[in-house]
Order: sequence, then C-alpha cells, then structure tokens
Amino acid sequence: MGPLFTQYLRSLEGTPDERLALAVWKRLREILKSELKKRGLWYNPPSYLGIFGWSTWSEAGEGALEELVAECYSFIFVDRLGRLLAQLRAKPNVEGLILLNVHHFFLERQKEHDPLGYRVFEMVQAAARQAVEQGELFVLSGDPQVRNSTVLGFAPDAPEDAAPASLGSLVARWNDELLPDLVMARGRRQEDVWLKLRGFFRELESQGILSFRFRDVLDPLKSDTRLRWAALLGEGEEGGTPERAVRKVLPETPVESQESLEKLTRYMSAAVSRMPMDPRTREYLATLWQYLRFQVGASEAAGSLEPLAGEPGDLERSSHRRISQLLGIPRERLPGLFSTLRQLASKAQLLARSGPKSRPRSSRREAG
Amino acid sequence: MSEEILSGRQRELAAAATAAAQRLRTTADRTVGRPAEVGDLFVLEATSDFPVEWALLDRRGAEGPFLAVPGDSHPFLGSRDLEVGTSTGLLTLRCQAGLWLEPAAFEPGLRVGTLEPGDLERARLKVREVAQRGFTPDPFLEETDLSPEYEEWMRDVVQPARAAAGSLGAAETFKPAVQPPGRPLLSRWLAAAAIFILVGSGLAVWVLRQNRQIERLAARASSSEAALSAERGRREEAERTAAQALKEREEQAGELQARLSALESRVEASPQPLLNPPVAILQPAEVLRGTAAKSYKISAAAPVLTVVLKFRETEIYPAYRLTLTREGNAEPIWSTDGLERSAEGVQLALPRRYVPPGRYRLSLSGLRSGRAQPVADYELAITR
Repeated sequence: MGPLFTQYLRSLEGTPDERLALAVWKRLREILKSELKKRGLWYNPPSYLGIFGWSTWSEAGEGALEELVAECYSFIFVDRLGRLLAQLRAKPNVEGLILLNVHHFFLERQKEHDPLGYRVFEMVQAAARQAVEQGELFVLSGDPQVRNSTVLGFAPDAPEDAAPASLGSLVARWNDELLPDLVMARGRRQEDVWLKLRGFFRELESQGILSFRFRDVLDPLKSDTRLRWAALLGEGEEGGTPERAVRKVLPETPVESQESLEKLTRYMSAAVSRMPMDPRTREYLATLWQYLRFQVGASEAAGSLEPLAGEPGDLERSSHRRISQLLGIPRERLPGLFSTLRQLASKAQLLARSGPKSRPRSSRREAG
Repeated sequence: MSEEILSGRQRELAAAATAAAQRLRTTADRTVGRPAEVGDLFVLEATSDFPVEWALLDRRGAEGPFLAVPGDSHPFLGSRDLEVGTSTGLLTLRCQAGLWLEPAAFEPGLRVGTLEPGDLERARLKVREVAQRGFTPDPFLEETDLSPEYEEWMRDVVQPARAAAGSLGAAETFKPAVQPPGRPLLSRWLAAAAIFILVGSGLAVWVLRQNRQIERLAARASSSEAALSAERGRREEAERTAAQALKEREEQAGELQARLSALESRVEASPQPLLNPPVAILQPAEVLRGTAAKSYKISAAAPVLTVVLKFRETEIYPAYRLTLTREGNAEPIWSTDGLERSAEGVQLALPRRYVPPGRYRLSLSGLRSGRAQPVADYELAITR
C-alpha cells in the first residue's frame, strides 16, 4: 500500500473510497494521541486545545480525542485541502506535509486556547536557546532547537541522567520575579525576561543540578503561571474583576462566536492601523488587547465560560486600578481605551461573521 | 469479524472534503492551458521541497518578469505578512520575501489557483509598505514577529524557498550583461561564468537546505512513527515508509549534487582566467572598533566577491557557520554551516547578487558537536 494520506487526497479528486477515509481517520487518531503525549498534553484538560465538555482525554471512550480528530481532520482535509492538492502537483507524496499540518494544528490550538501556556513555552524556549548560543547551556540530547524532551546541561560532558525527576518547587518560585512580565512584556522588553530566565537557569547549577530536561522546567512554570494569572482574574475591587472588563470588550468568547481571537487580532490590527492616533495610544491599545486575550484564554482553559451578567458601565471601572498597575497604562486612559477596543471588537466580530472567510474553530460537546 | 464503517460525523467530514476537492477541481479546470497572469498562484518545481506557493502580484511590461511573493498555510501571521483569499482557500503571503522571476519559471501545469481580485491590490500595497524604509512593525502582531516558532519558519522554509526560486533565474540576476564593444569574448565568458557560478551557488544552497529539510522532515516523521509504533506495533511498516522516503530524497539530493559537480567542473574547465577578481579581506569588527567598515567595489563583470575572514588562531573548530545579514534587516540573506578553516582564515566566494551595494554584517560561529559558538562579527560595505 502506498502512502496513505497521499492516496486519500488523490481519491478525493476522483471516486471517494470509504475504507480509505476510515483508515485515514484511524491513522490521524493515532498520530494525535501520540502528539498529545509527546507534548505533555495528555494529562492536561482537553480545554487547553479548545475541546470542551470532557475533563480528561481518556474518559468516556476517549470522546475528547475523537472530537480532536474531527477538528484536525477538518483543519487538514477541508480548510487546507487546496494547499495540499497544490503541493501534490509538484511532489510525489505529501505524507510529511500532513505531519507538518498536525504540528500547525497543535500550534494554532495551543496559542488560541492556552495562550498563557503557549506564551510561557515561547519565552522559556527563547531564553534556553539564547543560553545555548552563549555557551551557558549545552544540548546533551534531543532536538537542538530545544523542545520538551531536550536535555540541557551546564557542561558539554554533564551526565544526562543527572536530570532530577522534579524541579517543580524550585521553578515555581521564579514567577515571584518573572510575573507579570513573563506574560505581558512586549517587543524588546522581552529580552529582559530572557535574561532573568537565563539567570535562573544558572542558579540551578549552583544548587547542584548538572542537567535538566526542558519540559521539567517548563511544565511547573506553566502551571504556576496559570494559577497566578487565574488568581488575578478574581482580584478585582468593589465586586468587579478584570474578567468582567474582558467580557465587556469581548461579549462572546471564541467558543460562542466561532471566531478565533487570532483572527480578531488581525481585524483589530488592520482597524487600528487605519485610525489616526499617536504611537503611544496605539501601543497602549495593543498592550491592553494582548492582556485581554490572555485573560480570555486563561478563563476559557479553566472552563469558566458562564456569561457574566451586569450592566455596562460599572464593571470595568472597578478593575481599572489593577489593570493600570499590571500594564503600566495610566488609569485615566483606560476608559477611553476600553471604549475604542469595544467598538473595534464589535465591528470586527460582525465583519468576521458576515465575511466569507470565517469558519468554525472551536468545538464544544453537545449538552445532554 | 464485522467490517468497520464510518460514523455519521466521519461521513459528514469526508463528504465535506470530497465536496471541497470537487469545487477546487472545477475552479482549476477554468484556467487550464492559459499562460501565467498577474493574480495567479503557482507551485514551482524548484521550491517543491518547501510548502510554499507563489502569488504573482505584478509584471514588468506585457512579457516581462513577474513579482512573485511566497505564501503558505503556517498559522502565524507577522507584521510583514498578509492573509489573502484565493480560489483554493486562505493563504498567508510573506510580503518581505518577494522577488522578480521570469515568466518561463511558471509552468501552466503548475498553476494552483488565483487570488481574490480585492486581495491582489491589498497584497501589492502590503509589499510596497513592507519595502519602505523605516517600516514599523505592527504592535498588535509584534508578538508573532518575535516568536521563535515564526522565526524558525521564516529561516527554515520561507528564506530557503526564496533562495531556491532565485536560482531559477531572477530577472535582475540572470539577464546577460550588455556586451561592451571590442570585448565580446571576455564578456561572453564572464556572463557564462557568472551564470554557471550563480546557478552552482544556488544549487549548492538548495542542496544544503534540502539536506536539512530531509533531516528535519525525517526526524519529525520518525519521531511520530516511533511513538506510534510503541502503541500499535507498526514499527516495521513505518520504518519501511520512512526509509523509502529518505532514499528517494537522497537519490534526489545525489542527482542534484552530480549536476552541481558537473556545473562546477565546467566552470573550472573554462579556458579563460578570471582577471582582477575582487577580494575582501576582513578583520573582526571588535578589532576594528571605532573605524568605518572598508568599502569594496564589485564591477558588473565580476561574478563573485571573494571574502577572507580573519580571526584569532585559537578559535579552532571542525566547521564554521556564517550568516550574512544586510544592515537594517533582521532576516539573514544567506547562511551556511559548510565552512572550514584554512591557514588564511575562512574563505568563500559570494555571488554578486548576494551583495548588491549596501552594508552587511557577517557573523561567524564555530560548530562542534552540533553546538554553535560565536567566533567573530565582520562588517562589509559594497559600493557600485
């Protein structure tokens, strides 16, 4: 039998073959399950990938996994079919491209539904790569681009098996100094965070740790960041919370609106670029928007999706002090910025729904 | 044993895929046979190792070269990118990586779609905006610009695809120079030598990149396959498939290598010596601190600039990596891991098209056991 996915793609242009479709489905299921484990997602809630209604991947006959396969199938064989068939014109097979698309599927999903986790991954990975380039760390095994399973050491000949089983308690303390910049630093300010992270890596050595697996640093830092950020959601004043402010700008999360925040960001970017405003205001809007995205992602991943009641006008005001402190935006500017973002988001959502390019992005298990 | 059948959901999705395929086929049928036009999308044989398509955004005259911009379906969109609608779905154009290509590069059989008319104009505007001096990244998309995943995609896919397409015959590079009267033989030889060397260099870059691509895809495929096999006991089948794919790639790479060697030997066997070739001997920037970079002039007749990089004798590595970046650009123009040290330092011949007038930075790193260690940075200024 030839390459399965290529064969299936070719069959779509001629006579559809049900047995082939079934084989593709099963194969995709295997690949996704394997990827979930490889990426350390198997023991995280499916909501981190936008699959709602299940608390684990393994419950109820792996129903969440089946849902993920459906989403991924649609991502590859419906949404990107044109791209794949195009490549098939110039290549004998596209098996490698299917795996690449699975990688892209995970990227998009993680960034969209677990933005905090993805952000922490990117920041820690960038810092680790810098440390490797500067000769502070050495790749002892695994992908030199630094992935979950890469083992890093403080000397080229450090023993790989010196990696301790758990670094959780050590690493979680890093956030005392890293937050909120680990999440919110933008542009060149990110370099300060990478420097701090490199300093924390070096501290591991001074504590007698000769090598460590990248994942063993990343996972506890991700978990701690999610916890602390979720706590921020409940830290409002006078009964209001930043989350409520978020809801007022984005009355519907992607789950309800069927439109991704990534796409909304693109609409917002285009809309803001057309508006006459000074660079500082533009910067404030971008910072506030980034903050709102992380808040929505954090609450969505935590499963707190109940629509919030409350009349417009009184809620966001109460959380402005907190947001102002976190983002370094003058408090008196926040009402105006929220108002601008609210108008733009409403327009963007309308545009996204009416436009021909919108497509379902998130899945939720049917109630009952 | 009962035969498995598709569930309702699976059937529904399979039907959606079939319908999409039929729709694409109908659209494609309308454009069969017609020559390339602005607004078309193509795949190129030369860039078939990379998952990119080329959108034709503009043309110089009725029969001149096309401005082609690479596009792909990676989900990240940076400040210099634009998502456009096409007859075959959404495509993200990497607007800073466009180049002019001769019409012959676009085979009608490899047309894969067309841009939506409104998006063609948006794409042209974006290309112009990105090319402007002082282009400011969009603060909303800056997070993506600096994302390691995005940088990796641009470095490993978009830029190599651009280099591979460039080797096809970019209009500026491959148009034979006007022959000055009285020197027909020398000029003809130089034009031929330039073509051979540029094609050779292009292929060398392509082969190097292709090898990396093979390793990357093979590593990804094999890591997925290995994990799967542990669960499903399909190791043998997976290994056979991977080995076959690898073999095909190796054969392809071998064939290209042979073509490259043939081209190189033709250049070496040229009957005329190359007179007065430009040579730049560069000292590390840290040694020259405070002094301006020396300028070098490359005449139109010179196909290459020979560069000798000097550095401390203690910096000895089995191989060296060099990255060439134009001043003001974050993206490297070219990079190689294939350099070795000689008694003079590290030497290479840069095709003239790699270094048009401007200022450049060359970053040299030593490679050992898969790790790169910075050795020195150099500055280079090229004038007309």
